[in-house]
Amino acid sequence: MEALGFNAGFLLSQIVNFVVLLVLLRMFLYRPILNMLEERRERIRESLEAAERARQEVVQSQKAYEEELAKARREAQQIIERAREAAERQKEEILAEAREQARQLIARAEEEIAYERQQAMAQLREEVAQLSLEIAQKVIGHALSEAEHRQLVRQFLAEVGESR
Amino acid sequence: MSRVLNSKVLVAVVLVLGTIVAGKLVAPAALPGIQLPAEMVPILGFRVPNTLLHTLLADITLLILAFLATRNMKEIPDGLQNFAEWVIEGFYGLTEDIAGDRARQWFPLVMTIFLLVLVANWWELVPGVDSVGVVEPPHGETGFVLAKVGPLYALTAEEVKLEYKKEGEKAGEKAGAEMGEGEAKEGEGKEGEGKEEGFPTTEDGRPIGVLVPFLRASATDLNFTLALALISMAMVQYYGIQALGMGYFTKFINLKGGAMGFVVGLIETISEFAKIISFSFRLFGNIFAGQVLLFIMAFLLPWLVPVPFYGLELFVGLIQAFIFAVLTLAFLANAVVAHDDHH
Amino acid sequence: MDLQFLSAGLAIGLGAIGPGIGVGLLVMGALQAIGRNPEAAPEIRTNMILGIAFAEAIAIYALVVALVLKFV
Repeated sequence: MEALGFNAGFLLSQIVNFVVLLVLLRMFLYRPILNMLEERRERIRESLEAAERARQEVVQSQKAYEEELAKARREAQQIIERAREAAERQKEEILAEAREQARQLIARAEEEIAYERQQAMAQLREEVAQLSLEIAQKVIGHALSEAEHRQLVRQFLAEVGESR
Repeated sequence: MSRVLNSKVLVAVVLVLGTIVAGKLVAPAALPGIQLPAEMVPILGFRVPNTLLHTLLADITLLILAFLATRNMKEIPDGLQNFAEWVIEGFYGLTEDIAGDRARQWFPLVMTIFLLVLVANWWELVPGVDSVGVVEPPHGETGFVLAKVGPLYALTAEEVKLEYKKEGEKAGEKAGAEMGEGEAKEGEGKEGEGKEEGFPTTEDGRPIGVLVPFLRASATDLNFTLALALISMAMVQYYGIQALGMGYFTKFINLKGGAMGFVVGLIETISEFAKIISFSFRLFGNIFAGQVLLFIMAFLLPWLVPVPFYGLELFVGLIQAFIFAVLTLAFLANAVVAHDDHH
Repeated sequence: MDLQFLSAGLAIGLGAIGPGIGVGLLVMGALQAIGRNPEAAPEIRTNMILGIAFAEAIAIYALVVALVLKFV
């Protein structure tokens, strides 16, 4: 054993040396670095979680916003629809009223026209009778009696009225 | 084109070969005496094994690195902290793969084995280790002729047998080293006052001595590797008992399985000791062989040729550190599992 | 003296044959496994290294014997 270099004292000193080194390295190297790694892992996990939460929030608010938007759109649509219906109804009413008024106007106009015509016809008849009496007087040269004239004119007018 | 290429290749080959030959001629290196026990270096009046000094050097390196890496911890790491985190996180992941829940418990042991063995192995490859030290009179039958370089001495490649020169006259002060440094002088006075013996000389008066390097790879000392192996296997037994209570011993003394079971238990017991031996000799053998390989390469052809072997030793040093740590881990993981479900 | 060196050389030389073959087989198997299933490469590599360590232990016993023969 001696020739191979074994020596109890040296062996013991190497063992002691190793144990001391182990303790020192554990204190000054492994612990701080492992703690640092652990801390960093924790922090990364936390920030990932926070990011995930933030993402969820964004998704949620996005969804809420979209819902709101859809609702608003729906309402607007309804309002427009209602307005259109109202307008339609109003249009119908106005149109009906206008048509009614037009009809009344036309009716009144027709009445007036009929009345005017009546008037004109009566006047014309009067004038024609007068005129034809005068003409007949001139042509015949002497005056028929008033009664004869009238008889004649009436006869003539009746003929005219029949042929018309 | 090919002619140009060929001539370039030729020039390169000639240059490389020329360098190698020139190295052999200009700077022949001594082949140091290869011995298993650590050399004892005189430091402050004590004789300390140089492998122990090497281990302390590795300790200090590790502690300085640890201090620098954790001195100014930042949330976003850079530089050394980043590197330390990379190493530790990587190894911790490996530990978790094998050890599961017990990773936190075993990690310091395994990581320390890995780091210490790795740093100790890699320090071996730094120039100056194995080659700077105290020059002493030869302990054995051969020594090297010394050459004076300034205030220091360097070993030449000239090796002499000196059975007939044992009682040579005193040859000046000892000290110095191959490519020596100021610190080489430190040992001189103290060592001199203790023994007062001088250097033998050659017939033409040149001193003869041997080099006692200050540093020698820790793993080339069986005490270092055996210490690690003992710690490792002791921890394996400790955690085995902790996890399984007295049931742990049924692995070794198996009376239920009949004669066959008893023999299996016996083999388990023997293999437990064999693990200590193979642990310590695996690391020792690899690093010692690597050291001898580097010595011999430097001795045969000192320039350029050793370079690839340095690369190889870098790799071997890493792999051996890794194997030591991971095998410890595997044995630990194996020990805490109940063995009844086998067979 | 000479026989001692010879026996040490033979011990490690012969003792390295088996582990050499063993390591070769191990690496062959591991490389084939990685070729078939590249996703499992890290796991296979770790186990391969462990297996090599066990095979190498045999060569280490030979080394111990050689060292004992040479130095003791």
